[in-house]
Amino acid sequence: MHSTIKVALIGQPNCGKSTFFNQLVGYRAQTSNFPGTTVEFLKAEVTYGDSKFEIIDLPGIYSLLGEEPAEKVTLKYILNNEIDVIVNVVDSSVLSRSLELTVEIASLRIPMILVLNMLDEAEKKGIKIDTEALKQRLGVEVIKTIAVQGKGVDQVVKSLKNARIPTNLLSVPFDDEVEKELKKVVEKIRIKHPEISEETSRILAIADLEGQLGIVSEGELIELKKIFMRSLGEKSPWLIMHHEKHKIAMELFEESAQIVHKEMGKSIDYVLDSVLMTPFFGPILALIILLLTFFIVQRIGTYLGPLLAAPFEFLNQQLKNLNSTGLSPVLLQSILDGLRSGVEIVFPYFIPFIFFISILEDIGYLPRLAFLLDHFLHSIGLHGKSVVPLILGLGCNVPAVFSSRIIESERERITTAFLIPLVPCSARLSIIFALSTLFLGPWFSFFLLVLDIFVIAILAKLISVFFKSELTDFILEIPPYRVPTLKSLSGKVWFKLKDFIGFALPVIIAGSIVLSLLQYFNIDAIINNALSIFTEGILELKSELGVVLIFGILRKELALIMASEALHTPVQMLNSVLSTGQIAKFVVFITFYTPCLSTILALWKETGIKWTLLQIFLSLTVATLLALLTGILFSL
Amino acid sequence: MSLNEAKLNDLLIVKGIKAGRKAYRRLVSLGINVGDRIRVLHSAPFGGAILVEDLDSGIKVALGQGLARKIIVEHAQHN
Repeated sequence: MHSTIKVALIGQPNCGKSTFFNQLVGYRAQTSNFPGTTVEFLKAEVTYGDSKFEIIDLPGIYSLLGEEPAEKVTLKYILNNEIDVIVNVVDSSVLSRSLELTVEIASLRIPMILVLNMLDEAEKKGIKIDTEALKQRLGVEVIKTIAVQGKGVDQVVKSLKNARIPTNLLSVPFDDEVEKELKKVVEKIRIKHPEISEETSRILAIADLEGQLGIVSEGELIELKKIFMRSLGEKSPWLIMHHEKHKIAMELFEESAQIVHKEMGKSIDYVLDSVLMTPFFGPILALIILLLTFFIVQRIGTYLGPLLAAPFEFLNQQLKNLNSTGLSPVLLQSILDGLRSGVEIVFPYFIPFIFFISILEDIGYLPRLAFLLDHFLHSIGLHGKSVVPLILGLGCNVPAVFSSRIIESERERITTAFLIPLVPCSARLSIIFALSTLFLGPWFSFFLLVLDIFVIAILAKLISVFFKSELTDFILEIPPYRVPTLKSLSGKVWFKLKDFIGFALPVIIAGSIVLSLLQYFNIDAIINNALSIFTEGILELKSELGVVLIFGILRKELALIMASEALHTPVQMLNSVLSTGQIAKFVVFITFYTPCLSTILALWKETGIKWTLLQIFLSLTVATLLALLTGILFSL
Repeated sequence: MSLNEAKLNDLLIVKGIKAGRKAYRRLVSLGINVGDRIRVLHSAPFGGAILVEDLDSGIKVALGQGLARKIIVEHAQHN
């Protein structure tokens, strides 16, 4: 055996696999993000006792043989990496369905451990599981866990070294002609990857017939499919395998599980759903939940902001007292201003926002929102699942654009990704909230958000003209409600905070320094003059804001502090240099104009250059038109 | 009848899935199989999606109307 033991976690979506992964690697390991071509997987190295392990958290899949992007990632991983142990994590509360994947994994004949996770939820549903029966049939270690509470995780760690090759229950012989062709594909795999066993190769070969791994060429695939059609008729190998594994999984379930009591209509889920999912109260409550989130975040932000300002006021005064001249005090001031804008203006709104969005995410509300809104979203060319990326966009557009991958069909995926930059991210929300609270009244931010929803709907409808393909059907598993754990929430906030301090804040400070240098050497005037036709001529704002709008493309957070620096006025006193109408126009323009650089790059990667350029053009146009409209409204 | 015609909370049995290859695969992968006992728990406003509970695999799935139309069901025998 090699020095590091490779352990792959495989399980169905939402089985608590990621929680389990975090429990396994704890804080001893550095987790890193490996964005694959379509879905991401996580990897971490840990040492238990005297053995080193590499733990890989593969994306959640329903089957090894499917055609979804996540399944492709998993299959490619199995093909190209020598996995020593598979830890199959199972959601015990949906045991019969989960065992379908288990049966498939067992047929790979790679040493494995079966982890029955979410035992508490299974018990709540009245499912009692006899691990001995499963152990007997599958021939592997079966361990019960509740990953959220860390229960049973140690036992899994101890068993890693004793993982055994499972019994293959899924041996489906096809007829001779099909078997002959399959054998050819298996040989192809084994020539390239001699380390892969015959059994594993067989599963990979069947998967390859779905066009998953590219082992056989497109031309050969068409030929093979003809042969299969001839001997199997309408039934594909996939379908035959599915029926077989479903049957075996049901048998396993019946042998090993007992449903003790099943009180329907009484569980908390039914009660909650009977309010949140009804045609009348559902949408109303959805609106209230979202507005309440905005309201609370705005309140927390307006309260926190001034508290965080105090130390900066003090440092500012100290700097003024120095009374020195030249470049160094200018630079010091710009560093201080940059830091201040990040800490005082972005931070107070950003962090509470991430916290509340994470709560909605962890509770399981987002899929329910998708259910409620599917019909409406369908009518504007989107998909029920579009809700998730769009809501996540409120936190940060960049991961939201990537998360649009959860939508399978090309058409709705591209439309959703394309629209995300129009969702005001927490950076822009900070600016909207801060300036609304100071000068425009809280209602302004409310109207702006409503306007934003309309703009998104209209643009969605507009670009649906570009697509000829049909909209795809909506299918989405609705998970049970789960109480968000403090560990998971603080983890999510902490990751965002780390990203903010490590990435956004330095950029903000750097931007602030660059602007002060530009001003010091009078270069900003050149940029401002070049843009003045737009800033002064069309938008009727100050020409000093030209440079600000350019910087805003780097990071939206920069726009406000830059504006204050460019106009030589503290944020709290901006109304002394700009009229209320001009401030409103500025807010509206910042909300809608060109996405920030990171979002542009994400969009480029996900949708291609054409859509990205169209997005930049459209958002600039929309921002300008709406800013002008705002100007007219304020002059009435 | 097809699933979109079913009344809320009626106990039904899936008799057939007349969906295309892709949708069929997704349904059975999620745990909606022919022969399963299911019921419609909720429906979204304005003829939107429906929320279906599969009593055999113990899962809940939201389905668009288009797909609901392709699932053929029958009332389960009361006993």
